[in-house]
Amino acid sequence: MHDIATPGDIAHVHLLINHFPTIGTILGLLLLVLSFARKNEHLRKVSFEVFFLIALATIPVYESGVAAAEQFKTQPALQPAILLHQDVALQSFILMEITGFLSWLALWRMRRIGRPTKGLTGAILLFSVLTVAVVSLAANLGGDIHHPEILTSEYSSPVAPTAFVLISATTIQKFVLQNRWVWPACETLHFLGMSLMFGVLMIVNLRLLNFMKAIPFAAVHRLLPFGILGYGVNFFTGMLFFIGESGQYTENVAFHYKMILMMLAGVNYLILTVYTGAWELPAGADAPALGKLLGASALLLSIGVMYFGRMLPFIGNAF
Amino acid sequence: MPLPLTVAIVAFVVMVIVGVLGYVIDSNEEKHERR
Repeated sequence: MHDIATPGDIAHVHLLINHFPTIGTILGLLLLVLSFARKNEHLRKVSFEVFFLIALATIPVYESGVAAAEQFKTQPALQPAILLHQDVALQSFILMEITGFLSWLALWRMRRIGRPTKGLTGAILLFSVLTVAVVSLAANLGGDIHHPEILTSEYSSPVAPTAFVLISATTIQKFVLQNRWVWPACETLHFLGMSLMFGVLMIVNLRLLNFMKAIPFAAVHRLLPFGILGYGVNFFTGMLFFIGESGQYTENVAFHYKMILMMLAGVNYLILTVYTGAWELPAGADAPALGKLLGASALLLSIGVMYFGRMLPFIGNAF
Repeated sequence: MPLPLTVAIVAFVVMVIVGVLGYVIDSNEEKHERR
């Protein structure tokens, strides 16, 4: 299969998209603060949508960053700056994904009962502030890799960046590769998470495709958190695979296709969560054309993600 | 402990945690919808 990107291309992709997490979380946080000031629920919903989309976009940012780092393996002088950037980026990545998950939960709840709880909103505010702080540091450290002119003491931070690193990529890699049970346990969980997620997607999207018409859409919409929890299991185990053996994925064409389809499936999931046309669908009613398109595309995208995941060793070079 | 047993226990424990988390979210939702 023809590869859509060489490792060098992916390094360029990283340079193009690495600003999304920093600018996106700052924008999301500004919208959230503005929604408090104006007491505007709609603005709050938009801020949660921004956080969710940025959490999604942060996945290829991190993964393309690892691919970019592999391009510099032959330059030992750059390794300390790259490793530090990668470790701080990992902390911000974890914070961003927690913010994205909480934001999705708030959106799901807003769809169902019209408002998020105060506790959930407070948690999103807290995690988004932490994310902005750590992602800004990660971005700054990324700049150090290719802008040695800003490494003078005049611009150095009063706090050592290592203070922000609670868990390093190297520690995770050692954990995955040095314990024989980790990889097979993650493979097992990856299949269980996939089954949970796809099971929920089948029920919810088949309703949009006019199966089980006796059930109102709102009833199946309630299952969506189980789908996102299945996705959470797969995201967590998938990241352990990626950090453990990144070379198997960064130069694997099947993985590149899988990631593209996963981003599209994530956007689809967000629309499915908040889409009014589907939410108002009573028992016995046909879904509007857009709803049918949403349902069909969600199933096709998920099947595509599973197909390219399964084909990692056959189309690409994994294992 | 044999590897397959370790894997089975880890997978079981993680999925139980996921199930409990899903149940908590769902029951919380039901509580709010009843109000």
